Amino acid sequence: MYFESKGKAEVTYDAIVVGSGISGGWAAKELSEKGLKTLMLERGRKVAHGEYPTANSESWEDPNRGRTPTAELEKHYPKQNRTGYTVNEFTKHWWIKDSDQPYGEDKPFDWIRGYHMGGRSLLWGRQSYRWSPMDFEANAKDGVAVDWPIRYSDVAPWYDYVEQFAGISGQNEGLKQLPDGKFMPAMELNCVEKKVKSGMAKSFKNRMMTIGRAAHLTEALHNRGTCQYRNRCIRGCPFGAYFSSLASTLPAAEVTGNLTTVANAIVTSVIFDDKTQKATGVRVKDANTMEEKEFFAKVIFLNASTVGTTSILMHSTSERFPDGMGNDSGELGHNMMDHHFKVGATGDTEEYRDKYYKGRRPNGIYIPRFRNLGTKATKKDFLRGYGYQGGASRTGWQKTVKEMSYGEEFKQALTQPGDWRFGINGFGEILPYHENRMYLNYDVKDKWGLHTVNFDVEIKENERKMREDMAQAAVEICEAGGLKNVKPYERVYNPGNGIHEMGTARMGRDPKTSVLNKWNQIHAVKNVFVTDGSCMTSAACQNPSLTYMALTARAADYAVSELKKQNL
Amino acid sequence: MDRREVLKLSSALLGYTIVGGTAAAVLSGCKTDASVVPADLDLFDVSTYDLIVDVTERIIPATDTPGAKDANVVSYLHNRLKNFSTKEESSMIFEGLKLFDSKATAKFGKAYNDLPGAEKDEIMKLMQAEASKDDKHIFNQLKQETVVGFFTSEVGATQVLRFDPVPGEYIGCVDYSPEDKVWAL
Ligand SMILES: Cc1cc2nc3c(=O)[nH]c(=O)nc-3n(C[C@H](O)[C@H](O)[C@H](O)COP(=O)(O)OP(=O)(O)OC[C@H]3O[C@@H](n4cnc5c(N)ncnc54)[C@H](O)[C@@H]3O)c2cc1C
Ligand code: SF4
Repeated sequence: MYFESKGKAEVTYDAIVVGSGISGGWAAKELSEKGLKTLMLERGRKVAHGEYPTANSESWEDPNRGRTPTAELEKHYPKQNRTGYTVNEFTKHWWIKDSDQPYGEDKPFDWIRGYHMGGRSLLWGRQSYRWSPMDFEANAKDGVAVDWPIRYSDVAPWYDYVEQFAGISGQNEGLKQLPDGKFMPAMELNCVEKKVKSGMAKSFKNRMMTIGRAAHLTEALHNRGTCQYRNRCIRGCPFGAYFSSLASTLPAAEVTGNLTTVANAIVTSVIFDDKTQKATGVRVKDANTMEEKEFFAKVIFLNASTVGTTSILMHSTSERFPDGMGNDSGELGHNMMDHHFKVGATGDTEEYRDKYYKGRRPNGIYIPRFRNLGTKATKKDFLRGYGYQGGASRTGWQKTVKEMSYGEEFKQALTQPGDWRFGINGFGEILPYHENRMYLNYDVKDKWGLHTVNFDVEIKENERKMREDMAQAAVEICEAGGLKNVKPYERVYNPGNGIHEMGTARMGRDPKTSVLNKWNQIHAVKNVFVTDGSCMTSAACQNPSLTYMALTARAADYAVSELKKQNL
Repeated sequence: MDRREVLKLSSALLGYTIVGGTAAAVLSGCKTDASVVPADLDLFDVSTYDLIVDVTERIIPATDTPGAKDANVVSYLHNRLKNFSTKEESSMIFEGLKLFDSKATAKFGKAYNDLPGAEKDEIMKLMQAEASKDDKHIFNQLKQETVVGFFTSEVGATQVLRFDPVPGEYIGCVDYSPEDKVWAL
């Protein structure tokens, strides 16, 4: 085949990392800093830090003020735009086209993604929270699914480590359900957020408000600039002020001289050697030329994101693994989780009309979980809990104009900020249900000849009960905060829409019921590590990416030490 | 050949698009006091174009700062209809716009565009009175879209609101006085 011109040595590395997003960036940094010749394979196009074409575009530079015409949305982005906020003229180059990348839905599932160097690290909302001891113990305690093979203490030093390198701003609060971290100075709350916070302090023992913990630099770090409060992060940050692979982990990996990156390289499967019972490398298809190649390494990190990685494993069939690599348990593709949300409350106030804010804070407030904390007072008729994200702001010219007249006074009125509004949105834990799954659709192939993915995922009774509580408790919070016109809201949530899909190759203690061990190794193929969201055994209610970072750094450290001991 | 075709043809011949006043000079043989629809606003005939330019300018007039006309809000409204409305929605809008003429004819016996300014304003007041009782009234839609088109335009954002592309800091609580204005974006 194509090794005629190239020797095998030229396509052989110490380590291969598949995917350049949040977890893959970390894997590449850790492995190459520890001296491994590392190859990063990314299916999307090459993008270098700073290549953010719309970072400085203004609305008026586009004839539709940035909105992508309906016909184009319907044709190319019908699923990517299900969030309602992700696809527009200033961001659309970061999202896959659904017209190119079809998937199936037995029940509605929103698979929102971008394929390019950096993956969704460029697009994420940057909210970064540790999991707590109770999150790692939850499955064991509740008798749900399987137990995590690790505890908070296993991950805590790695949270310290990744927080300090990524740069997370936030406030330590000493909560057992939301551990403190190594934070940069916190961003400020505004007047009305402070008002609600103090109202909450008077009314509740277990509910409190803190500023969002966000992966934004509030102090300089490495070669990155501090946040300039433009809130255009999703277009890419020219200052490198929020954590992304491009601004943070990949530059660190590159300076070692050990990293090679290849773009447009779709990893189609992992190669398994029956003799050694190890993986020897990966098969790759060039996204543009369709040329097929193989690359080899001693250790392989799969970081193609939850669905991407699980799909690669499912495509990696062999005599030993007829149902997909590492799938002895039959759990591969199952236990899909996300965070359910779109339920909360809003309220407003006539106070503080003489107060405003300066800057566009790319962050909001956080109300940590306050249900089922192990005390009688916090116990509810559902398992687990939820946290709220939200914030306060003054309305601008986007007021309701019906009651107002037109003309000079109207124009004048619109140049004045309106009343303050406050809103919170709950993010709740979804339990791992075996029957919530993704699977390969052998009838429909994509244009690269790979089987497409189908989703069969739904929320159940526990989540529905939780949602009722999420609306009601949100009302209580707004009322305790002294707000007026307090109203609950709930909109339909479809799984996937939280963009925290996870759990389809879970970690566990027993190879019969899980895919990965406590070091994120495939039980039966020890030199394959999976450290993206597919490894998650339960979902907690915090945004997950910080945990993926910590687990990745931890697994990379272990992989290198095992390599040195010649155990891999 | 009707006027718009003449315009399209001549702009094609000249190799550029005629916008606003320049067209008058180019087409010296034609009537010069009527306005000309820019070629890319192909959903609007002259009278619709004139109507929208007039009404949106009355909604957000130029004062000591620019108004809807300066911000070319008519072009925003055109693109809004063209790229974001279904056939039914846009025919409802065009249907709704006829209200201006039917009211003008009933009250003053002339089409809206042919009225002097003060009488146009009378019609605006009638529309506003109806709209305050009906969320879906065409006048509310026009107002809403005019506001969006205006404040997302360059003059609207940078000359009428406070524009601060790179704030550099976030301060949660600052004093506010009415001359400060709302932040753009
Ligand atoms: C709008 C938005 C807001 C979000 N907000 C938050 C938040 O506030 N907090 C939070 O914690 N999380 C948030 N997330 C989720 C977060 O982005 C993901 O959890 C995170 O990016 C997952 O990291 P990953 O490394 O697993 O995958 P990704 O970052 O998605 O990267 C995967 C990479 O693998 C590549 N790839 C896929 N398949 C292959 C293949 N076969 N071969 C080669 N390469 C492949 C992809 O192109 C991509 O570059 C948000 C996501 C979005 C979209
Ligand atoms: S808000 Fe901060 S992180 Fe976001 S784009 Fe602006 S400077 Fe960058």
